Amino acid sequence: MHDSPHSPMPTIEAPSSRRVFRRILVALDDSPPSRAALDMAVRLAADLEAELEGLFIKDQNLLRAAQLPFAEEVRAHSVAPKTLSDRRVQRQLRYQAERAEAALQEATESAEVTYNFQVVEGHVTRELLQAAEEADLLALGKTSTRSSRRRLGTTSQALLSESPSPVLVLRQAVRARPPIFTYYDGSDTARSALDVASGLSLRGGGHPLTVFVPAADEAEAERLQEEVEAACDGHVPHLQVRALTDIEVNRLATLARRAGRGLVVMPGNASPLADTPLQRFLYELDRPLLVVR
Amino acid sequence: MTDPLPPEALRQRFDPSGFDFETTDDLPAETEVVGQDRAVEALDFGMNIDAEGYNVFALGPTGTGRRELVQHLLEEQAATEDTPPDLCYVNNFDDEREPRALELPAGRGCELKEDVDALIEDLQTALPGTFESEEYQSRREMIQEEVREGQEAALEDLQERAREEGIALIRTPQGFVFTPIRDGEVVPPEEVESMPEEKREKVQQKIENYQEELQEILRKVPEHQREARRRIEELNEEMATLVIDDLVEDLHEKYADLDAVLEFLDSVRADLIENVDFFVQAAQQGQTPQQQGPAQMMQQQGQQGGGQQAPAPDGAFWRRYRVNLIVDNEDTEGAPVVYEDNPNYQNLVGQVEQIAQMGALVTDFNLIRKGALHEANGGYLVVDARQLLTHPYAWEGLKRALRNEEIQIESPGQALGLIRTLTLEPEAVPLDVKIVVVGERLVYYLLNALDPDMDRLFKVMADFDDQIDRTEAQEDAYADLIATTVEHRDLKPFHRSGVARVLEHSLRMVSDTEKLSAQVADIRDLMTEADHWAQDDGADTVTDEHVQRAIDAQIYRADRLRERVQESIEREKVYIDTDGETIGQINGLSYLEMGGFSFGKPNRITARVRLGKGEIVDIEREAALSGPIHSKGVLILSGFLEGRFAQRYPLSLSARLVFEQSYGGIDGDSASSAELYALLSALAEVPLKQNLAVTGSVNQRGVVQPIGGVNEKIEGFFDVCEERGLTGDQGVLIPATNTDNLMLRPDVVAAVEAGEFHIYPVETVDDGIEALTGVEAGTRDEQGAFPDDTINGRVEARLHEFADRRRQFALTDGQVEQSEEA
Repeated sequence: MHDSPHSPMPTIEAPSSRRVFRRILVALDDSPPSRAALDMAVRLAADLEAELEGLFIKDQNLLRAAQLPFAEEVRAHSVAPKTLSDRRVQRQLRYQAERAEAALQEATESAEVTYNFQVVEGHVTRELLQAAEEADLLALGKTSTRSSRRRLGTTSQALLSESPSPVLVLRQAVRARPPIFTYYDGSDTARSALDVASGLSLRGGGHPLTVFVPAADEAEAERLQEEVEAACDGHVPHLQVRALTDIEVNRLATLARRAGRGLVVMPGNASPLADTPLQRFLYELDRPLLVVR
Repeated sequence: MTDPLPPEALRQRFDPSGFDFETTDDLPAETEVVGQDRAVEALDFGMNIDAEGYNVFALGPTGTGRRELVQHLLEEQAATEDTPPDLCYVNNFDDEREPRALELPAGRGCELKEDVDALIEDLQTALPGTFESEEYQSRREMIQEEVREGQEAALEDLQERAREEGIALIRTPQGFVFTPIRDGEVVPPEEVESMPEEKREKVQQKIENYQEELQEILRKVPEHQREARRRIEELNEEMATLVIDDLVEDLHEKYADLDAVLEFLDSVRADLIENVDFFVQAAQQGQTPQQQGPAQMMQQQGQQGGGQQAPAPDGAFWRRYRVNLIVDNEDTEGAPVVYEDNPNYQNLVGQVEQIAQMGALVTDFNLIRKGALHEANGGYLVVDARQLLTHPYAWEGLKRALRNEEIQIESPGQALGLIRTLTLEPEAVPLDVKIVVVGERLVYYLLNALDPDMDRLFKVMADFDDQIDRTEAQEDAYADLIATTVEHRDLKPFHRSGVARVLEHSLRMVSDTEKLSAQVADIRDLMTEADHWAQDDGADTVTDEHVQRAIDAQIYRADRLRERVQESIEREKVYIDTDGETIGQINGLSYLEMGGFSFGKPNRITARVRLGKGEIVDIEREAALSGPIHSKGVLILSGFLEGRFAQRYPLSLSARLVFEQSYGGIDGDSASSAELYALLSALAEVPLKQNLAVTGSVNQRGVVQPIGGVNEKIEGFFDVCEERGLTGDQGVLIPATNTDNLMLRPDVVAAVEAGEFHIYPVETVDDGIEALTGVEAGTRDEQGAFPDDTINGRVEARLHEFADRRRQFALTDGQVEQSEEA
């Protein structure tokens, strides 16, 4: 059962519908985190029968910097900085783009996924934000180089904060069938996040879904649990609802990390996420994070 | 005239009723050896003397039970001695080409091997487990994180400071570039170009400064990475050490009293820690160890250097820690006694086996195999001389080990310097062994004469005799030996009559009534055959009848030739007279031995004489059919003749002696008396009785000397006479001193008892010639002359005549003859 292929509006449909995302955009560069994001995007695309778009962006700032008369490139393994010529940078970027495309082809080799590849030149963050408007999900690496667990790239930070569509950020590859975690506090955004989470857990053989609910007391916990179950409508095979105390809510990232090597779907306005610097939240979580706004 | 021997003198009898047992079941059956005192004492001495080079060579004829005796004595001795240690070979981690030898108290080698195998099994799961564990992964992560974070912090700080001054740090595909920035955008090149000179230079200067700083930061990167690597290595070692020590600790306690083992365990530990990278990488790559057979194992080990990515520690890898137990003395009681029945070089010294793999031969210390020397180390080794010497290089290899007092395992090719390819050189093992080589006498004497090492290495000779002195004690021991054989070979018990018969046969085997045969192998075979006949009969015990039957059957199987010989005499193809008398013709007796069966036969010997120059011609010698001893015999009898008869006259005869119808070779001087009688008869012109046969050698004084094979010779003549029908006066003349060699067949003795055959002991030629002619021999009177009617007288007369004739012939130039005849 397939819907019409190109629906441009990023609508989240009701859980009974099978299509969680129809168009997944993945930002490609030549880094391990980006590759991890690519692999996960391919798997999601395969499970959810979505289209995959790979996007490589040639950094305009870099190109401009290379055009400056005294531009010099400082490198790790040479003694003196080398003149950075426009041509050389062009060539390097072209090469990177080719590698990105090759990675995309390789990743989609064994999966049944329709994909296309695009190269644009511009301001990285702006281009991505713009592209995100036309996709149902944007996936990218947490940093654009191999980095420490602590670091959060500027691009990723900007997109997580400002993207109109859901954004998936990850640092390392995760295994094939991760358990799904999400946070439901009753808000609309939380509801959207819950729909995404339950949709994901249904696909690809059924992943366990754990929903954390903040509950001051038992009654609150019960109420939220009922709402969750109603939203899932018995479709989710392994559903677990966990009530959290205030303290636990404050330490949600650590808690979610300890709960397992899974994928975490967060509503963007939820207090644990909104009240914590993004970098710290991601550091403590250290798991793939999908933010829904 | 000499009197014939009484029947009792012709055969020793063992009276069964003289034994104090009924059957061999009544005997203890504990005797393994009878007599051989000299050899036994030598062996005892050799076994016990604690000095170098006192190995034993047990020499003697085959069939005298040397090896069994040697082994029996050694085992008795060894049982009281300490058990030697176990021997293992283990890997030499410093130089794998030279495996180390490890000695442990007996029984503990097996233990160690099993313990090490268990240790390896444990390590095979524990080590990868450690490096796959969360704890390790996170600690390793942390180290890498720390380093990365440090670098990032420096970069970020630099980036921040630059930004405050309006300079952006942008990443390029291969590094970084600094560029002026405004409102988050890089300043376009046109704007930069249109900047006032001073301002532009200032910007440029700032950028250069930042570049330098960045360069500094980047320069430190490799250092930090090295630091990270070092810390990870330390972490690896730490984790590995924990696991390994934990597992090895138990073994440390168990073998705390054995320094060599502790050293080995330490080296294993050190090597494991050194190789910890294997396990780390395997864990990183998610591989698991496998169990495989040696060929594949070797293959993988061989491929390890093939430039592939670092291989996982599979079965091949773990081989390096194993213990190759090559000598296991766990079940050995006392010292080992080893009989190596195929003493080629490898079986003695050990070898390093190899596996063929893709056209090359590969090996490791696990393929070292022990030799007999290893097995016997601390004890005794028995080998057969002939086998040892016929295997190439085995004798050399054995001597080398003894000289150097150590066992060095290398192939003969290596030892001879012929092989150039690399192979293992296992650590030599100190050698403490006593060797007993069992061989024939000839081999011993040859080695002694030709090999200078014999004096140094085999100082003890254990000389086995073929005969045993016959005393009552030895007879009893012999009977018990028979009983022991009955038990060992699971035969029917021997009735005492059977035992008696066996003992008699033993005497016959050595042709000596005062010695028992030491050829126990033949005795045992006889017993086995007698047992067979007893079974055939359905009898309960083996009696003298069965023994006799066995003897008869043995003879019958072997005496085809004798039958032919007798037949040819019967059919008068070969002329032998057994009655009447003839001048110059006599029955001599000869002795043949073929394939272990011996028999005698009569031989006609004739002598003819004429006038001549004093030469006695032995036709056999002239025809090159006689051996030197025979020729010597003839020369001796010539000496006698000359001595007695040619003192005053030159010997002027020419005589020819021949063994009629003998076309094969003859040696030995046992017929020299017969030849002499024939000669005397021819000279005296007195006939000799053909119903008698003669044997005996003679010396220059006319004394008859003893000969060999007296029984066979008598029986040979007896058979001819009996075939034709005994006349009652037939017989044989034998040297008197051979009387105690007589063990004639019972039927011969019976004939003598019935007065139908006679054996005459003769001491001198005169005795003999009297018996043969019936005429007195004669002694010189006061004038020095022999009486005319005696043999000697007539011989002398004839010789005198010859001498005169000859003289006349010479003087008259041949004329004398004419007138005389006329």
